[in-house]
Amino acid sequence: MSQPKIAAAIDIGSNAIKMLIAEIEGPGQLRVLEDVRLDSPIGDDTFTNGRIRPEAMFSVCRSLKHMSQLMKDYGVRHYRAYATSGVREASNSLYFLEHVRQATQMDVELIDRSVERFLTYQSLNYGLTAMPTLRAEGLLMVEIGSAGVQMSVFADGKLRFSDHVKIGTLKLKEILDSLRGESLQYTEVLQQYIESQLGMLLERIHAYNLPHYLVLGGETASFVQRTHELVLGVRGMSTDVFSRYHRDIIQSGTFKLAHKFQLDEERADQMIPTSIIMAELWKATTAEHVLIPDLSLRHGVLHQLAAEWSNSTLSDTYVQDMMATALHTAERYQLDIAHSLKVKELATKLLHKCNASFHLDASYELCLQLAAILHDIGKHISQEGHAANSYHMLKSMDMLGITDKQKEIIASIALYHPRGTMVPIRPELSTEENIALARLTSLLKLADALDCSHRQKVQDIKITWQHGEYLQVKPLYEGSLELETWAFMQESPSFEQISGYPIRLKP
Amino acid sequence: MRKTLINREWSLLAFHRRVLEEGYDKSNPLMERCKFLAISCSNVDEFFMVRAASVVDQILADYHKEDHSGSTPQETLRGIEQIGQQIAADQYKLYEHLRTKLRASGLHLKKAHRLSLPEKQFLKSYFTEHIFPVLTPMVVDQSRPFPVIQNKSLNLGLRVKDPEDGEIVFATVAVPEVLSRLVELPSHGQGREFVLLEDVMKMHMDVLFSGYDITEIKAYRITRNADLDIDEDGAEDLLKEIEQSLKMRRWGNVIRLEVEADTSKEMIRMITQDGEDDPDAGINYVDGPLDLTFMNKITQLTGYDHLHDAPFQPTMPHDREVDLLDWIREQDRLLHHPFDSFGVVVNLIRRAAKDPDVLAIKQTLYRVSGNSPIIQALIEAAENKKQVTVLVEIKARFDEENNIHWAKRLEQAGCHVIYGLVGLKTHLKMLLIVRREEQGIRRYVHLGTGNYNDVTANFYTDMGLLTVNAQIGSDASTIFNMLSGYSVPSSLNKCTIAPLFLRKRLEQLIEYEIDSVKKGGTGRILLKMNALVDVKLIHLLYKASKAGVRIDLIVRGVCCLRPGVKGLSENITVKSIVGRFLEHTRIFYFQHGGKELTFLSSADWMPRNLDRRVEAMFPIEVPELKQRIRDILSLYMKDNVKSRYLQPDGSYVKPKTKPQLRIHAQQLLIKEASRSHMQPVTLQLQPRQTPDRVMALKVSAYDH
Repeated sequence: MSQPKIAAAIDIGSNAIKMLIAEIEGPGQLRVLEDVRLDSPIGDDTFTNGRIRPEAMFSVCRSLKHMSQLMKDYGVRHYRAYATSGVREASNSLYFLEHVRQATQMDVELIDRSVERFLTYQSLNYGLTAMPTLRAEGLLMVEIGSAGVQMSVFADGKLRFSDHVKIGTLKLKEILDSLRGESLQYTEVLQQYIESQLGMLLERIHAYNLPHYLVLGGETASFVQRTHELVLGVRGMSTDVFSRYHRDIIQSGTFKLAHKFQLDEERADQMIPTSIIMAELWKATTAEHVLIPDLSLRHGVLHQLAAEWSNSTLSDTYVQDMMATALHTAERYQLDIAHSLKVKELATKLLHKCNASFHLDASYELCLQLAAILHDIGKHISQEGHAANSYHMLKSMDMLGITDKQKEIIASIALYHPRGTMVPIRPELSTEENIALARLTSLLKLADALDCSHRQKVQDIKITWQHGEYLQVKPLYEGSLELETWAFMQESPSFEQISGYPIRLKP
Repeated sequence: MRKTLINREWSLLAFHRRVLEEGYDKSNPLMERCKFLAISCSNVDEFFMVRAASVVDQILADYHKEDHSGSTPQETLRGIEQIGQQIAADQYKLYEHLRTKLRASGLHLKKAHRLSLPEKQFLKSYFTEHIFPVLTPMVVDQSRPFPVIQNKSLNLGLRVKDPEDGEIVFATVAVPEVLSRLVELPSHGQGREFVLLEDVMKMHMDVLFSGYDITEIKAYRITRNADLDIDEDGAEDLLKEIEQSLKMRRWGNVIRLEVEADTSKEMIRMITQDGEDDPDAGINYVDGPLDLTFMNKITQLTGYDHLHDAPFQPTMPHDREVDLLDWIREQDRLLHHPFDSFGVVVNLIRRAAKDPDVLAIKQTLYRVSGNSPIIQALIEAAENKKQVTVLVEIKARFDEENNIHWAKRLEQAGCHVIYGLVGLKTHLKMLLIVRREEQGIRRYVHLGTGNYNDVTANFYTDMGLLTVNAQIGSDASTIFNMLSGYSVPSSLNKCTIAPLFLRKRLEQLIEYEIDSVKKGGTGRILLKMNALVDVKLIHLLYKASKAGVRIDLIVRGVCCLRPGVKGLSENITVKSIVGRFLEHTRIFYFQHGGKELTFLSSADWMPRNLDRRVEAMFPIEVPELKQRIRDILSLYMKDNVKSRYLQPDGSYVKPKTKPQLRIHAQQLLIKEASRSHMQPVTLQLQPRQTPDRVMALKVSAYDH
């Protein structure tokens, strides 16, 4: 029997720097050895001054050195250190990361919100045995961060939609701090503000009639410590118990809360918005308990690491969730769903055939599929220039687990998918990413051409190498394929230029 | 109305008296009686340096408020002086008695006027060769101010007259600490004879002050306030700050002046008024040699084994053929020192230091022995590339100098030395070994009630738990992370730590017993500790007593709780056990509705332990080990040889027991340990008068 690998995940957050050291036997099989937390001054700096002061950098480096020592205690060789919103939103984030690298010899990666969410999502999918049941029966999952609150709705086993509102605990402090000294009803003002920000979203969530409610992040850890009730194997709190705490929290001042919950004042201060957000979103569900699992982004990082070690970077559940969300978006924007699905299907088939020479990994396949489903989304605004509209809409969308660069690729595929458009070099992408973008775009164009009439005449395609000279696409179709053949011929030169080999459609 | 609490300082002095009483106990071997006398003297010195000093500080600060026992600082100090003088008188009475006994055993402590001419001649040359070169006489006159006298140093004060102008001046000579207090006289084959160093000096002072008339020579000794007061907030480097404070300790305010009984008023006036000393300092007139701690040197003389306790060899509780880690993995192990050898813990660290699979060793160290094998093992571990983290509490009182020394050694060897949390002494005793095994990381933990000191472990009773319990292992990691500043405190699985949660947890446990009685059940608390001072917890125990909870307390030292008072504490008994071994275990037992929660702890129930120190309380959950602890507690409750019962008036009474009914707990534990450690845990107690009849005591915690 081989010894389990030991790895560490570090999360440099706005309020805290947290580290998890665990033994990993495989995805979903973590044994936590250390779960440590040190206060972080980053959020206060970023959300107050817009940048991280040298004193805060020094403090973070000191904390990371402590954590580095702890990693040595366990002989940790693999680690991932991520910085999230507090660093992301600081104007000097790059200098900060370089300073940390020099002072601690630790590589810290700045991740965007969607990756942050994805890692938390991974922690639930792998770490929560009840997750399939919760997803099947209907779940509102809420993640309270320093900058914002992320809400994801699962129904019938699928992720239906996900949205983000900028009412994170520190963000609220930044927005409303000036009122604090002036208003005696600060808590009430806070409550009203949160309600106003959630407004329409609550109605949208309510429509799903969700029986389960799960909350992560913020100061939920303080709630976890006060409940031993288990619901579906997860720590939970009933309406009555939560209401009692909630009343107590919103009626208490920070100092009293700090004493009562044995927290420092900074954390106690965050209990109030955490509790209000929890209470407000609970109203949008029919849940009798709020589930508060002791899971985090760090758990997700380690699960993801385990997945990479076992060569399964993207789980089926994740891909299905992404497809479901994309389709849900397509429906909301009244896209031609049948066309979207057909383009996705054909583009995927083409990619699989060409990938022997393209060497694009699963994440690129996901980009292609998402672009295939949503490439026409810009038509919701106007037919003319719809590709440009699609680009902007996709760029502004929050896609779970999709990095900014991946989002750029998805949006660019949509931007350059119209016939006759060539893909220029995108300066924000690396050479490898630019090549991938060009290849994926050429595939989408061919797939789009094969359903040019939006009538799904092509039922299937068979792709073969002919004498090692050219790629032959033989469609199985009904009716006349003249329009599609013409369109395919229009797009094939761009594919040939990019791939280096000819492609023929043989109806 | 009777005061509900006993004065803390008086209670502490009462403990020192109980130690002294052991010196009077004829059933103890002679050298052990001498040792008890020396310990009692050393204890009283420390009492004046720390406790009395703080009372004097209050008076100097014009503080008049009553303490929890209802005494003002002035009243407390009067009591201290009164009790202190009684103890001093009893110490000297005992000294004379023991001197006679020692003489009968061939050890003669001679007085100067009993010396023969050849002995005087021997001492003259001894003085010239050994003493004279290290003496520095200091004369006090208008041009030479009174020198600063070191804390606890023994000195000779002289009044010398200038024959030319008839002026009498004061001179002082320190009795050199580099020389032995006992000067041995040439042997004549009839035992050994000694003279005290200061007596030899007195005989030859004319050599130092030739040309002067010496009108009086008297020994004197001062005790200073030695409570370190460190401003940690401003201390960039705690190590340097403490080194600085140590230098200051030698020169703190004077708390006590001890002089020989027939010292003249003029001499005292010269010592107290001409010096920098505080005129309010208490003066103790002593009818005998000052500073009786030299009696400890007597006990160290070789060739008198028959005058000591029978030697006791702690037993190694595990089979040496079995690997220590396998032994711990097999099941939780309870160690009861000194009956179980502390060598197990030392061996565990040595074993870990050499083990290629051990990744890290973490340990708290409070007081360690001079040449500690634990330090050696930790250094070896660091040299073997283990990650060694040592949390050193350099503020452990009167051990600071020693602590700084070995903290530096550990740092040089590559250990990560941490000095604990600002404002909190780290008093918990914890060892964590992180080992990589086939199934993954496993944590071996030792938690104890006493220090990692291989020397004191031979005469302090302490308990320790060795375990691989994953939850306790996780707690140990969390606690070390907290202490190392690697993490903010978070919740623990099994252990409870002070100052964060321990007080609250103890309150909950007592309240639970109260509730049990209120609901018609029974409540039972049995606690063993070194000191019970905390006012809040004492009042909670009173509340429990009033509710009908039965409470038995075994408190070795200070106890401010007043037991057996009708309407207040009639359900509470307090006993103190003072014997061959210093009782040091902290065991807390609560009936808890039949769950019988049993805890060990590093903490006494004092505000300093609960609010200003990092302490740990940990449960013993394996049924056999719980039973073992309950048996030991029951045995202590039954002890009637070394037990004294606290009375409602604050005095302690030793029960009169018929010889055939004597139960001497420590003695029985020695016997049990000597027989075999592989036996079942049930204690087999043998009454002294009927050695053939083995009385198996299967006592539960209720049964006393």
